[in-house]
Amino acid sequence: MTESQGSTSVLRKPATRRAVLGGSIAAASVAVAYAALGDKLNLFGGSGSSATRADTAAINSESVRISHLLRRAGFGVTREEHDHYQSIGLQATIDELVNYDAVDDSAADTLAAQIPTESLQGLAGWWAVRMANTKRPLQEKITFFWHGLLTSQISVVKSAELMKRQNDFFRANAMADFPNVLKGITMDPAMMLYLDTSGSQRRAPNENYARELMELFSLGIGHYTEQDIREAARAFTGWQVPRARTAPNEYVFEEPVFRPNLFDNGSKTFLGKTGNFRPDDIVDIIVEQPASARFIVGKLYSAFVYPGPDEQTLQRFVDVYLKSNKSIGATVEAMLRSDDMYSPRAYRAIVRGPVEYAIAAIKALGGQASIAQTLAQGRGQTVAAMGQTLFEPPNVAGWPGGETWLNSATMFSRLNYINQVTGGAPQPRNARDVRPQPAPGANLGTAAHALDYYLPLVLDDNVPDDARQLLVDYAGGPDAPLSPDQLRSLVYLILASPQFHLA
Amino acid sequence: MINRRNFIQESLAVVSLGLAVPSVFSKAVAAAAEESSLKSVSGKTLIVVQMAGGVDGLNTIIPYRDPAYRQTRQALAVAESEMLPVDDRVAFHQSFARMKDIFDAGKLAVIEGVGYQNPNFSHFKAMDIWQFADPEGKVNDGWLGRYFEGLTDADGHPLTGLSYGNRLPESFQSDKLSIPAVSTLEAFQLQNADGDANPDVRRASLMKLYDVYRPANTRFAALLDTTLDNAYQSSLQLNEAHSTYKPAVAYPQSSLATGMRLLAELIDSGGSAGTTPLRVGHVFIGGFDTHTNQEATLARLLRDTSEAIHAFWTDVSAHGHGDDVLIMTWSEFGRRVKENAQVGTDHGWAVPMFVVGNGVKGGFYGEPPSLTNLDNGNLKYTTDFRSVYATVLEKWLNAPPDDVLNGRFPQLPFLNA
Repeated sequence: MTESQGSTSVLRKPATRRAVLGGSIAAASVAVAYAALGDKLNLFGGSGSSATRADTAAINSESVRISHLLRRAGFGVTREEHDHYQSIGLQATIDELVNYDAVDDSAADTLAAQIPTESLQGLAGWWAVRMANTKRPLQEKITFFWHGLLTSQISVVKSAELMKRQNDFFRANAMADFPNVLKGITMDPAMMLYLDTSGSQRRAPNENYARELMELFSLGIGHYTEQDIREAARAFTGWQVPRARTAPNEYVFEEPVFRPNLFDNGSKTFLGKTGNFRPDDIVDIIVEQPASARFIVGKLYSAFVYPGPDEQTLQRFVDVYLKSNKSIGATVEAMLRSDDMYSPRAYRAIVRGPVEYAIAAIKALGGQASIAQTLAQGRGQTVAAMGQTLFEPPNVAGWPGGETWLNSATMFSRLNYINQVTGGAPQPRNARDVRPQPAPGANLGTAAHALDYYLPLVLDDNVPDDARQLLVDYAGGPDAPLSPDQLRSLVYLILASPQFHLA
Repeated sequence: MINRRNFIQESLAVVSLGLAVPSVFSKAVAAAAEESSLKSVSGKTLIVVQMAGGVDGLNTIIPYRDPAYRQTRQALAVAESEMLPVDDRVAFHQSFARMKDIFDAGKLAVIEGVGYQNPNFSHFKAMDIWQFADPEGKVNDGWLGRYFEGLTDADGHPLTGLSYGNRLPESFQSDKLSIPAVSTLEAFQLQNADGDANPDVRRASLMKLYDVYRPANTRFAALLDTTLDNAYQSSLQLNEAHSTYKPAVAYPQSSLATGMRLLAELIDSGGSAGTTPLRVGHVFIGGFDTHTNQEATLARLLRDTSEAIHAFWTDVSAHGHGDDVLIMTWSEFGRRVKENAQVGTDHGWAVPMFVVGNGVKGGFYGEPPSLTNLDNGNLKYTTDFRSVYATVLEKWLNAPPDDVLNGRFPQLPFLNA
């Protein structure tokens, strides 16, 4: 028990930043150690105060598992969705998420179709509306995953049309086989413009795409040489995304064309294989590398289950991936059905990114298309201030995520966003009068009623006792009648809670 | 300072972590701190300017008389009419004119040929190497983060470090401290609800919710709590500085200039010279990754950089802080000597660094890299970037460079005394 008590004191405030962080290699091993100690504390009943007890016991209930799943495989839930998934149970929920082709999503399509997508802001709003309203959350979540991994920046591509096309490609191939996803993105016009394969020619092959394809999209550093980059770059030559001017400063892009005279038609030696390779050949060679399977499965696991799985854990899902002919869908489904997904280690183990944070808040408040649309626009720059603009990641590595989402500035942006959407500050245009919009007939007359309504919806009804008491006290007692402003601030405190930053 | 006492009481534990575990400054500073907390504060401020993307040093500080320059840069060589010669060897790009002004005033050191052995050509790995000061990839906290860990500030200033931007630079990454990142002042405060008669009650309740959430399993709980605490205290200090500041110059319209103005406000917030709590500020200008059609892009970025630095330097000097501020730029790598077929340049190796301040002995430092003796078409580095860091740490920040940099690097003589 001395060991347990020692860990308790370590985890008490002031914890060191490294001790509480994951994400970096050194920190990951520390985190593993702490996770193990945390479990031990639990097993032995824990001798610490309530403040240091693990809060993972909740994951044993089916109800919490469903909410947890919908944070990972979706963007949180509206009250209506919450009730729906809770009523059908965990297994049926997974079935519905995975077999999304069978789910009618025409309502979200209709809402999204009303939004002009010719600009970045329109496009970001269009996607946010999809995220907030889709009945196929897993498809949208994997689309979002692809956008963060095989990423492009609209500021470089300079075409909302091509960025939307790339986004549609991700959505259509959300659960496809990884080789096909890589082949598709290699010939995706936005990507070709973004990483300079468009216009790359044999006399001076541009190495940009070849490098990022291996470093960031498929293998990771250490599994190829600089020479492999040069050789792959030769295979990507000869292509161009033609641009036609339709008006001063207005262009339309045409389908990529292959110009044989600009292609390096010679033999290339790439990752130990030799031949007159073309782009698809390069992808086929990459995905046969053992490092490629570990790379993509590791990315999926870290996004859907918890960051930094150990080798043994990873291998179980690498096996699934390889046996399913490198199917992303089969791999993700196996993760969603696994015990790992509902293990204490997975619970609240991921920091929600800004878009996920904002969409989840909107949905909890009674999700409206106009809110989702405006969150990406005008004064709704708040999500950008949190550190994330859809279609505009900071660089080709996408958003680093994890603890990097959290610093002083982004903390304010998050909390002020909650203040705004709960009605505490003026709303962006087109989204006025947004206040908590509970389901019809819901009784929110007292603090006790309001907590009963919102805590299970957004916090798994799983907060420390002193937090619950604090909320009750703030409202003047459990049974004191709540004014609209009191309700507004109570909902603010719930959504602004520390647990809501976590998925 | 409103609530200063409050902050000290509530966050002393967090702030004093550097004291409790002075692993980095095991020798010099921790010992000094025993005698007087103020001794650990040098009174000097370092402003780090990140020029992200890989600066084409050859077209910034141009070896215009070297025949190899025009041979390899047939499309991209800068015309002599568009440069500002220093001597028979080099000229400044004309868009870097304000930096040339500072050079002519003897306050700019140009360190040529900076890099490190076994260069990495990935932006992200290279940036990590510069920011962790670790080419081997063995550490993952930032060199400035390590500096901050050793900094003992018993007065509990929350703003000894500040980054302008949404995301904390890796160089500020620390396992013990959370350095704030500020995007705009307006956004950098906790907003109350309109019409709330008791905003303090709601704010206090919110902060208490973070305080009581400390489950053993979730690695992020303490981070969330510390982040909110630091953010709130920093916002009080920063907004007070802003409300009283009168800049001596008109800053140009750019994100970099806006960030530098914010840092100038903070530097002045201490009052008289040498009393600012800010030790290191970080600002950012991106876009130097000029693979295609480089000329116009590079010109614009060099102008933005030099005008922002010049405005900032003029402003802090006018406010009496010129002797206490040093500006240092860095970029993750230079660019290939030979231009590519898309009128741009690909990732290269050696790159210049610029250091500005009254404490600088102006001139050129380091050995200019050869344009003909190349490594895979790249300029070979002649000065390790950690030599520049070491010089700044010891001569400017009064910190032990060997401890921060995990090794000894020869220093350069570009700083006075």
